[in-house]
Amino acid sequence: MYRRVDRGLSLYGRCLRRALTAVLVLTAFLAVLLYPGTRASAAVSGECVRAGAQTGKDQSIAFPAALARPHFMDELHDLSSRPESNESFGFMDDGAELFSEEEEAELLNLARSRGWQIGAVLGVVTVSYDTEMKGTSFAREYLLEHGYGYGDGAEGIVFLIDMYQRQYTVYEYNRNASGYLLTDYEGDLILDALESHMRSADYAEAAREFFKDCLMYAYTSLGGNYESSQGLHEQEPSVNWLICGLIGLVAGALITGLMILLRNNDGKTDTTVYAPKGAFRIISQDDRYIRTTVTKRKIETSSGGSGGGGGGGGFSGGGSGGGHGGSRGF
Amino acid sequence: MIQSYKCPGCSASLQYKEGTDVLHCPYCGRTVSIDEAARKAKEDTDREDEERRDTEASDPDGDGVQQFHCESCGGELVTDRFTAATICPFCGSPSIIKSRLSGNRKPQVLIPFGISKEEAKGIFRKWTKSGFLTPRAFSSVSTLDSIKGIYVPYWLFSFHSTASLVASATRVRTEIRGKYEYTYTDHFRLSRETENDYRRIPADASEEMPDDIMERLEPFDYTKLTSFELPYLSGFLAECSNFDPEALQPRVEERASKAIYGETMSTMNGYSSVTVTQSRIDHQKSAQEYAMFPLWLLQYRYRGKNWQLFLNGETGRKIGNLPVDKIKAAILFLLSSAAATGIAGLVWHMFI
Ligand SMILES: [Zn+2]
Ligand SMILES: [Zn+2]
Repeated sequence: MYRRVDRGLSLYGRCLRRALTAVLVLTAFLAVLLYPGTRASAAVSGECVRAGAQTGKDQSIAFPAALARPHFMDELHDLSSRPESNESFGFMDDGAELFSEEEEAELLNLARSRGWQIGAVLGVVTVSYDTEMKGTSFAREYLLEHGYGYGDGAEGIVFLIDMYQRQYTVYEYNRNASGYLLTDYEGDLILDALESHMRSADYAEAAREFFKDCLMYAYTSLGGNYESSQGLHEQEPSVNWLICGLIGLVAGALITGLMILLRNNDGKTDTTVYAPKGAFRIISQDDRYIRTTVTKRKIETSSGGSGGGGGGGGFSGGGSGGGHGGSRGF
Repeated sequence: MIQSYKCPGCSASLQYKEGTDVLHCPYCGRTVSIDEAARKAKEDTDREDEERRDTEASDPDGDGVQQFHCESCGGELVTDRFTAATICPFCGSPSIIKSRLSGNRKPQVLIPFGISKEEAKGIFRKWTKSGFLTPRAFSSVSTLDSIKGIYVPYWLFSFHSTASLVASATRVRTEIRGKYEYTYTDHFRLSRETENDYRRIPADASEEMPDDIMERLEPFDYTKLTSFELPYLSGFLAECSNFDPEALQPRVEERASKAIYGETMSTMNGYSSVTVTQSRIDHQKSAQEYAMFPLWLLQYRYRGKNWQLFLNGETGRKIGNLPVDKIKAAILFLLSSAAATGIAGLVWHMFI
């Protein structure tokens, strides 16, 4: 005779209560499991597997825990054979004049310190003329021509910005037998990471991102250790426990508050349950069109090249001469 | 005058057995149907009416407090002016103050208790044990034993409601042509006339019962609605209406207004925005009934504060606030804060 309506609210409340409890338990479990000593064992899942560069052993490397690797890997790379000075590890060649003088000085410094840490040359080259070459070919020519490197093998990663072809390239050159500094996958990740900066024409930021990513991927692929290379790079930002603590307090207050609120149940009854089914009738109904107003707005676009230009480039392996790289438009 | 129902076998007081239509004797187990008990009581009353009229309780102070005497033990029953049924504090016999529920003060309909005291205790026990934050003392046996079954007076209103709304609405679409984005806003004038029949919207007529809690105890299952008979009250507390129905009607009209407004608004769909510019809602009262609905009440004093938990005596729906154990809450807060801090640190470490 009367519709009995189970209110959504109480159902929702019950579900939320259960979800909260689950989150709480999971959170506590994760916190105990993952922090701080057991991180290494937690980082086993991931999709990227490659041969360890100098250990001769296979190592499973997990993403996105890449940053965590230096903390538990021992120092395998021989830093003592490296020159005291880092000057030969970085270069800047801003032919297209994309950077200010300060930026150039800052980036050169970054290139050298990151290069020193990796044990390979890092550089940024910008050109505005027609090289008549593919980005990767030009990068290779450039590295060979300028003879960057140290010791027996020259190793380097160059970031080429070609303003003429509106294309950017990340190219890794490696004359060691030890293996690549970057896998294809990592190369693609760097190209991806640079894309937004290139699109927004923030070339200095792109260069910074390039150095950061090189350090992250190439250095750790050699089994290096952040902490052992002192003085030549600024400290990586460590966890700010004050902010985490504040976030934690807010979250704790929220969880506790919700738990208190949600124990107390059920909302009011919808009065519509007192109307028999079908009792509600529309006696009359009229939707009258009055007028249309139009506003017009210019669409902001970043640069001449529309969406179609990008895409294609991938970081592909192999090739003669022990180098590989990839280019993309921007 | 006090009404009570005596067991034909042992003369003990009969009580209404929840979920049935009989009275039963808690001592010898004999049962008497509601109809029979009511008919027998009526015969007795007719016979005794003359001689007992002048023994009707007096209210010398005029403050509504009246004194009656228990039919079983003669003990003094002190009642306030709205008490309609009570239990003798001395012998535990059910006592119904008939004069407050007869003649033009007689309720028309009633929903009998469907949930027995034992079932209610079970529900309360489970409820008060639920939740990490509930103090343990709250679910103690003695607390649960003190639950009371109460018939609460209600007025039920039936309305034929009509709504007439006028609204202005817009529908927005965008189109990109060349280097420009065009936003077209179509404006409409909507009008609706609707009607609905709301049957038996309840409003509690007890001053003591909090209105919002009573509304949240709804809905009652009206298929169990039966015509009022006094014996249903035997063994329970009951209150008679504290208010004239006219005093409650505005509250119910407001509920009906909200309902029909919402239903009418829901017919104005397919627009980006709807703003009501005129609305007129009318209610025509088609019926009004005096009713009694059952609820179980658990009252408890915790840390200097009175706590009340309510149970719909028919459907078992439960409403009320459980107290929070402050120590447990503090532990929960510390644990969850620490866990969240750990998670935040971990996320920070991995992604920043
Ligand atoms: Zn008996
Ligand atoms: Zn008594």
